[in-house]
Amino acid sequence: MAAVLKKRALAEYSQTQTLNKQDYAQQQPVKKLCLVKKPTTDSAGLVILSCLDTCKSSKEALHTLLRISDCVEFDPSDIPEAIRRLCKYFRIENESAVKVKILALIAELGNLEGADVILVIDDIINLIEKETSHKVIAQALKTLLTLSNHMKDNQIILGKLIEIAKNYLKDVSHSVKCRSLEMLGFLVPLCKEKDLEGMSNLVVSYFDNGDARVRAQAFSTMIHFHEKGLKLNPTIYKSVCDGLKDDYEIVRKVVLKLLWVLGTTFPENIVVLPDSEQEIRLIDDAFAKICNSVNDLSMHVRTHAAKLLGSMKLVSMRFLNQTLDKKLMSNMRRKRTAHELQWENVTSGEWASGKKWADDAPREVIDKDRINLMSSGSCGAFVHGLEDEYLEVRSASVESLCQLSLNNQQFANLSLDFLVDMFNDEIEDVRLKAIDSLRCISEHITLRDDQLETILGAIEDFSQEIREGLHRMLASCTMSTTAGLRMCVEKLLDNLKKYPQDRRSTYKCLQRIGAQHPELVLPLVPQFLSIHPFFDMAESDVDNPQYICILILVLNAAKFNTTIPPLFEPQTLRHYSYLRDTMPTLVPKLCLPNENNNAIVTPSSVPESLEFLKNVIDNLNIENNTVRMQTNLLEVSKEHLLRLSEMDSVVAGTAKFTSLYIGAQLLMSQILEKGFFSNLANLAAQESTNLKNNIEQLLLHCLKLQYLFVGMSPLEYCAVKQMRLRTLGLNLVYIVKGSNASALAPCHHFLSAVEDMQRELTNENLEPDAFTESLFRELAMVEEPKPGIVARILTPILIEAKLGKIPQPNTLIQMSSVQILEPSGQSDSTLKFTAGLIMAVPFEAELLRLSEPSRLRIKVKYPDQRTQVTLPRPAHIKPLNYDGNANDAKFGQDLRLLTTVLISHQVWSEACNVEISIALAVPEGDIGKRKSSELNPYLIDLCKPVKVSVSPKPIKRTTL
Amino acid sequence: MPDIKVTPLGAGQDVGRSCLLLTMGGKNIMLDCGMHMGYNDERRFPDFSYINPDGPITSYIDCVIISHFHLDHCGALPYMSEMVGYNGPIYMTHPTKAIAPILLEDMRKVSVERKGEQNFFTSQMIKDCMKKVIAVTLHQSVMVDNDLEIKAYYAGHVLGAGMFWVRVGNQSIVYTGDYNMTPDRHLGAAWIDKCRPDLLISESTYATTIRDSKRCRERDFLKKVHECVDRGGKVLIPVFALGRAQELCILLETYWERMNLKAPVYFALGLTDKANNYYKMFITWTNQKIRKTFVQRNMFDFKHIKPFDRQFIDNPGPMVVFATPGMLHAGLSLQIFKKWAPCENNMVIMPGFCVQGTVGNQILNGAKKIEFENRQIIEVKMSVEYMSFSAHADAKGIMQLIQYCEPTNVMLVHGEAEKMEFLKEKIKEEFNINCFNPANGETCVINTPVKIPLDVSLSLLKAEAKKFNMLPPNPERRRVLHGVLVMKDNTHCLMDVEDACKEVGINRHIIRFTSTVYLNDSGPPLSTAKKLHQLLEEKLSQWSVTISDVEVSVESVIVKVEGDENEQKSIFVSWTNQDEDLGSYILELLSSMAK
Repeated sequence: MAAVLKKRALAEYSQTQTLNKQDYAQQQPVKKLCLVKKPTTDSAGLVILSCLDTCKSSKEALHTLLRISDCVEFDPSDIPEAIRRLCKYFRIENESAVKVKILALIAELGNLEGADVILVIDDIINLIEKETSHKVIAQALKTLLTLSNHMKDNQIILGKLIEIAKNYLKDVSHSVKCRSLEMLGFLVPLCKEKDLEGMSNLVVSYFDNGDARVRAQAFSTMIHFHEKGLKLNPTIYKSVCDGLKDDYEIVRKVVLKLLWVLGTTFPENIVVLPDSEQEIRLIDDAFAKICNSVNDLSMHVRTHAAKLLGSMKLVSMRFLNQTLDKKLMSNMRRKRTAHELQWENVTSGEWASGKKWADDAPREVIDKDRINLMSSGSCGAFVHGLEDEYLEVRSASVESLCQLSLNNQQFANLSLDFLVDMFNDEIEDVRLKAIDSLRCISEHITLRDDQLETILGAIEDFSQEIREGLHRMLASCTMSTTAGLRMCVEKLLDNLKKYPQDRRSTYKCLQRIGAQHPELVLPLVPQFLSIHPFFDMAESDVDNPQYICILILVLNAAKFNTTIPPLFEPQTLRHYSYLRDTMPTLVPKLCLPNENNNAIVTPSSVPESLEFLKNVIDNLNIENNTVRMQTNLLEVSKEHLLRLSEMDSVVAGTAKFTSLYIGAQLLMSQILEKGFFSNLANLAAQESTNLKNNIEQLLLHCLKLQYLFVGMSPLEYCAVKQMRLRTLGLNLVYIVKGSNASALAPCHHFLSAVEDMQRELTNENLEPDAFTESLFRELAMVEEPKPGIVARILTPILIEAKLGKIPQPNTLIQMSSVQILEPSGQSDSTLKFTAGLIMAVPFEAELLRLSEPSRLRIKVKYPDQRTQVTLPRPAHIKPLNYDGNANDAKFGQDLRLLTTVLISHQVWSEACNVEISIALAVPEGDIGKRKSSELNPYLIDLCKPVKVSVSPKPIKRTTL
Repeated sequence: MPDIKVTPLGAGQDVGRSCLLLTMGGKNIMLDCGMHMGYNDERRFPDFSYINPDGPITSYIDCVIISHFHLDHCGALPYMSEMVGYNGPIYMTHPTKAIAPILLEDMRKVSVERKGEQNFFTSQMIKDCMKKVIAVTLHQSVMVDNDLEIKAYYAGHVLGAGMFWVRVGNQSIVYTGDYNMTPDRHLGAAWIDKCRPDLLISESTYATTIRDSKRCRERDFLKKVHECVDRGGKVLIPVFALGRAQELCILLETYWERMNLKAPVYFALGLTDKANNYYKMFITWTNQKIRKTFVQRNMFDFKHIKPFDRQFIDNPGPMVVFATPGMLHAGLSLQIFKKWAPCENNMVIMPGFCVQGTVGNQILNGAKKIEFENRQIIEVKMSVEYMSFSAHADAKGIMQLIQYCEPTNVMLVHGEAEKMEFLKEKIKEEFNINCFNPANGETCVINTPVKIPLDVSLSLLKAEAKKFNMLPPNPERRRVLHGVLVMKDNTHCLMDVEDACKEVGINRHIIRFTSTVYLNDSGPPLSTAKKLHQLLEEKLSQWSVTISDVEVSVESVIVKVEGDENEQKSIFVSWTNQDEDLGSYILELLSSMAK
């Protein structure tokens, strides 16, 4: 069996060799392998190009060109020649399609390294001098434009190109005109011409061109001018506005953008309204115009308009408020909106009976001359946008509404009702967006009870995301009355009964609510905690989620209101200490006055722990003579650090890191001490496997050090890397000396790791440790790094060089960790499904401090030892804290994985446990393919697996 | 002057019995053929004798267009085609063709079998009539004959409702039927492109109303139903068979799904069930959400809504029931109402308007006790709610549509006269276009401008384009095309002068106008010429002025200076016929200088 495996492993290695071509060629110059690819690499392009001359028809030539652009790569040195040949062929070709392709190809080649762009530009200008085909000219201009990207500083060339563009503006064809305008847009701002004014006038004169495409391009050229920092002339405003009436949506869309640009650059300019002498600010007028476009014919224009509205922050309040006002009327009588009605009912103290048929009956008669049905400013833009047929428009409107409300309290209060209405949208994404928007603007808002009631109506939603979104929103809102707060809490508790999986989210929500409304909670305390003046009520079960909710609410309120704690009954205090211990994040620390029996332990951070950590490490780094003592010391400190990591959350990350590092050092010195790794011949079988396991263990340690921690400084990172390098070296020696497997791949891997290391050290300007330093020195002298030679060099260095210093503690270091919340592994019930079919198990996990979410894998292990590894869908990974500041990726993200794990199996006779866990996939290079027989060696477990009892049932055949 | 004549046979300043006669470019088109639900005598059908006092009308009508399946728009169709006699084509959209016969048959049953009417069309007549129908798709351009083209646009309102664009020659109109500019739970909003018709005929049911956002009403509705179900009550929703019923079903269905509610929702079987099948089929006619998700699940495959059985009336526990008819005047909905009314936990939601005299109207007005024909008295303790879900465009929507399609004239139909007046004024004021609202039988004549299409030879156009584009762009410059109008064999075309000469076989004669102006200017003729050149360049900045020796030329205008070095020069101005404007301008300029 072993022989077969070895053979297979060998076979695999010989395959890998072909991949590492250079390496292989250097060592064993087998001609057959090297020659295969040789001729295709250097002048293949030119060879195919020369085929052009022999092409008989244009069609053939086109095919050749297509082939070149599809697959051939050119050497930098060949490019001038290739371009020369293409130009030559261009002159003799008649078919314009071929010419277009040639020009496109030249553009591609010109972008590559090695091309003389100035020359190419001149060539092209010469080529198209006599050209009549519009397609060819358009493509030539496009090519020139792409090439000009390299010439941003060359004023002469730019000037020349601008002249060409201006010249070709006179062409009849729309495509040539468009390209010329595009060129002007990109080039004019770059050059320092005096007549910029004239240039922009020239472009403006194309606003009325006969072709819609040219018009659109002219407008977008203006936008380009603006983007490149050219100051636009506000006088074009009027002609831009006319563009809004264009028949073509491409034009209208660009015009909107340009209007927006003008509005935001010249907000305070004054515009005189036509048909009247009224003067308004330019931004207001532009805003009103864009608002009108929310009713455009085309969905794209509507979406665009709705999006733009959000970023026009300088608009006057009067115009802003109009966007939410659609003058309602019914049979010529003024009518109030439902929102107004509701408001009136609330303020008059009279609740909506809802029973009267005509309670929304219209009031006063409107003077019919005073109604303006069309185009009255920004009237009702958002009302229309939010009611639109297409979700794109609706969600853009919601976004804009939110953006505008963010810095405008009055508008935020107005938009509240509309956002709440959107909770009822038919598309979940829009609902979610509305909820999130409301959360964003919540600091401006105090919720009235009736508004709260409507919001709470949405909380029964079946979708967990919506519910949690609402929880977050409620957590950040301010409520106005005790009655509202009570309604909210009761609703939350009710809902918790319906959806027990919302437990954690509800806790968090109530924590914030409690902390924000201590005064409102106070009157409710007796009721919530069922405190009765005379009777002792039944004590609530402290494991009951509803009761925990109440406690969290009250305790958090108690922190900010000193009147609450004295109300607590003894059992509440007991429960408090219990919760304080079990959920320290949700329950604050209280100073309870009449508490004398038990002092509550404070497991929070203390500066001493960091001090201790430093001490431990300093002690380790003191020179110790005996290896024995050193080892002992290391072992002891490793234990200490592990214990410390459990005690103090602040230093936990670095303590774990250091202890893992020490562990790796211990393993390393253990292997080195015995010295067997370089001398395997006289090794007993038992020891041999031990050694092998040790090395594997060490490799795994290094991988963990590399991938499980975030927030490492370059210093620590390099320390880890050097440890890894050392391990790889050890591994290499072991392979060369101790096994008959090919060492080529590991050797190559080792060498590339050395190169990386060198680069990194110089980049970070760090000193290499003893091992790495001597390694660099020795390797530099080797001419041909064959595995044997490298191993020979390595052996003495490994033995002699001292272990690197242990890095100083860095509290920024955090360890990635995962907590699987669902399935909890505590339920006794067995999940049953039909064998062979698939069952989905809901899965929820919190991932803390993760640097690369793409490495996440879900591992499912069946009782028959089969393991399935799946990649979770990116859509199922969401940030854990929405309002947390954008974390630097370096320090890792806190994520939340909410997905379903699919389980399937054939029939079992009884229920068995399936283990589900989350692992991190690491690059496979370090461990090598040796372990392919074992299960998924490239995964580092992030947490303990949870067990789910599963029982696949045979298919029941119903007899007919 | 060509004109368009429109005569409403019904729906002129009135709702119901929509039927318009349109005469345009020699074609007669009938738009909709509805019946009036309020009458039971001959007034319920349009007066077809207006077209032909005795006998069939086939020879007078080129085609009939039906906008949607509501009976006030298609109810008289079998009567017209089978009993009056019409064999021409009838156009309607696919869903309308599918659903209209169901409604017609239902109406026939009610009229003949329940009310025992005589002389009504038969089932067979409905079938025969439907055989004459040609179904059209949205945006499909259908040529009825060589001159007559029609095209359907989406109108919202009900499934399959269309707005029709009709063109004869250069004249075109748009007939909207009923339409809705705000989307609802199952249909999208009406849409039309900028087709710039000569006349837009629009409905105007809500001419004087601007409606609030729909969302509030929906939310209110759902909240009320949810609360009632939560307290264990039963909800009765009387509906008309088609249209709003589907919208409410979708609304409740999605809400039930979202909120994970368990209480049963029932839908009374019958007519609606059959129609639901068509709703399932015509997915392309529904709104974005339904269209996008039907691959996973067709929204009309209700998961929570089950068919109703009469025995369920007495079932305990909460439930929601949709039942016809909508005004609680008869049938199942009334039966259920009688059972449930005395319990205060229950609720009835009226989703639409109720006619005077019906039970629906009474309870909406707050009646607490209702007496029925058989002296039975029912106490109404259940809560009564009114929810209006209407699918017509409001005043703002109508204006919106006018803005979209930019007509040159507007006609309002299908609305009440005084409400129309208001909207008419507004349209005139805000769009500055003509607006009409003829009464039934009143013919309205709309003048349209004469347009004559002309073929222009390509080379002529290209040459002009090249010339125009060479000049620096100036939006104010007119584009001038020199050519000869050739009228031959009833076709008109504009040709290049040379080509035209060649075709006719005559030599081209050029007429030049010449004139001499005497000018006092000392110095050699050359300097005078230069001065003139400068002057002309200044005055005619748009043109290219060239000078060679003593000759200055602009286009075909030649200005030549003659004479010695003495004071007086004779300036010779000559121009061809084409450049008459330019030439006379220069001559005038020179002669004014001479004075």
